[in-house]
Amino acid sequence: MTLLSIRDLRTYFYTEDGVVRAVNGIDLNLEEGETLGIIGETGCGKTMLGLSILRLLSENTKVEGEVLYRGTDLIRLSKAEMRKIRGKEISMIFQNSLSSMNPVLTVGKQLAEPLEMHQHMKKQAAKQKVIEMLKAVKIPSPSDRAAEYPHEFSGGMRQRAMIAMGLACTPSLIIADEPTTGLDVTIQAQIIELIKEVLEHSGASMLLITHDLGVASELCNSIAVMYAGEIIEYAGIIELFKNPRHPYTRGFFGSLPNRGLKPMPGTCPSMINLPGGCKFHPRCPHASSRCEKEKPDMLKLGEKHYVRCFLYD
Amino acid sequence: MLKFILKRMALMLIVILGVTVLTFLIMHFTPGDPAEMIALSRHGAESLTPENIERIRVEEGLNAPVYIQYLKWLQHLLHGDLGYSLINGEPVLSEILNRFPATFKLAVTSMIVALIIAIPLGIITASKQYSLFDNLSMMGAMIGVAMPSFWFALLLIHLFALCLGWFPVCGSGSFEYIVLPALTLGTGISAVLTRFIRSNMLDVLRQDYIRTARAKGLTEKLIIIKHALKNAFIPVITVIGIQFGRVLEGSVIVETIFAWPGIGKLLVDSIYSRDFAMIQGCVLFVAVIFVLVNLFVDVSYTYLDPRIRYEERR
Repeated sequence: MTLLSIRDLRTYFYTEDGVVRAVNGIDLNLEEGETLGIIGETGCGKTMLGLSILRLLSENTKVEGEVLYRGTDLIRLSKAEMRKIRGKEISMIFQNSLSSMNPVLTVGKQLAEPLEMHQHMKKQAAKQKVIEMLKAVKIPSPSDRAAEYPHEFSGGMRQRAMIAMGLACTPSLIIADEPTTGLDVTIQAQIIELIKEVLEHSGASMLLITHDLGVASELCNSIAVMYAGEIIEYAGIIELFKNPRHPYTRGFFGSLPNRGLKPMPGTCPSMINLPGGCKFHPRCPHASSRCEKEKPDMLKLGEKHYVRCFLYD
Repeated sequence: MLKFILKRMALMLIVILGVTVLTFLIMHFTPGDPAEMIALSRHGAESLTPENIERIRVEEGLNAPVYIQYLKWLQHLLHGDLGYSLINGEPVLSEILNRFPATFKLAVTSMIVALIIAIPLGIITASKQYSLFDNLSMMGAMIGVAMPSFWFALLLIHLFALCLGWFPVCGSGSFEYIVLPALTLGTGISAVLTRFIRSNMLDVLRQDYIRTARAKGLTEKLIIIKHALKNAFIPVITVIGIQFGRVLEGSVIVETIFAWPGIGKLLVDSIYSRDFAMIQGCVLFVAVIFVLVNLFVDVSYTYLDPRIRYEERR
């Protein structure tokens, strides 16, 4: 069953320098129990996509399109209705756990908040539940740890606490934004294991936002490759790794250490002055004059493999 | 923690010594002969003969070089003796302590006025940035910062004392007397504080952890009260402390205008009458209050901010 269905989602920021088009018409489906990875370079709009779903963007933002969660369009919900979705139905795990946790509140208090908010738990009951939650994410001596502040945790432990916080109300969808970025490799592996376990245990779906193909390959069933605010390729995890079709995806894979460490020339375009036609054409080795003028549609290549490129037209 | 306080105390001593040296020097180079002033105030105009003045100069030790005078004063200070007023012969310390309660009362009242205005205003303007309310408040705060207190005091006196007759023009005594001076001081401080609270709140509301709190589905009210306020108020406490220190020293201008019998008025009167001992005593007192308030603010930081507490513990 489809849990989340995104239709032509567009997110624009109005800034003094112009309109930043961070998300440019994204269509995605996420099935119940599925883990979908959104991968792309820094600045391609993947975090904005995550924040747009939960409507966590600032006032100068405009979000258009539809985000259907179990058939309800989140974009059209009132603020109060949206609050009931956040943390309860859909929760978010952020990167950089140090800045994402309040420095002057204990970890226990911050973890108890969603419980008190959505499940109307009393303080004492919530405290008890928090200790269980910390235990579940394998934090040693959880009752002592709950009384500590975020800066007293190590990076890995803080990320565990963030995950516990995201899971507090057993949400059906977890949006994880670079959950392992900034952690060292062994801790990364532990966190990946933890997320795997947690997903298996709760049956929740996950939207995993990452630039790390290794993390994506560990956790995801399918992957959407994002470039300049658009999805340019979508495929099952094995298919994508075996058979990447879009020149950008290939470049992305080519830059991996075990595939030659070939850097892709150029950087993501500015989201204010996006190139016309295919947004990748200035960097594309196969670009033709058609790519400069026309925007390619999503083409179906296989059962679950789509690509936005004229090479396969 | 104790080490920190002791270190700060040592630094405080240096600051206070510096302040006393400076005032001593400034007074020494100020025109006006203290011996003359003493003769005039103690014995009347007919005593202003050169012999009389010379005699007083020797009696009061005013003929010695300035550093000798200073060292003598310091020696007395170490024995807890601030000397006697050159004008009326009263002990300086008891005169200051007599005046301090009035200043303290005014300081606390005006701080309460300032906080009652500034805290809600700062929070509301920050959470409704660029709204009409925000723009109006910021305009008001700008005027409040720019407006000199003597002018505002005169406006208040004109409106509430002369036209409406609600409060007395000046003096001290029952509650009505404190209203106008406290309003003058309080609104001035609240203008500074409102702007500071607003900018701190705005800064905090942009932080990642506020987004996390929103992602948990908390209401805006809860986010502001539980997540933003405490963070935003850590730096605000410093400014509150400094402002409180300022009014606690006695506001020279406001106390003079309203004839409020506090330290500020005492200081101004002593300067007029060249009462060196009293000036020196007042300045010393003010300096001590100021550094003490600052120390208190720094110590209170460690209780507000768990990150500093942690550093201490390690």
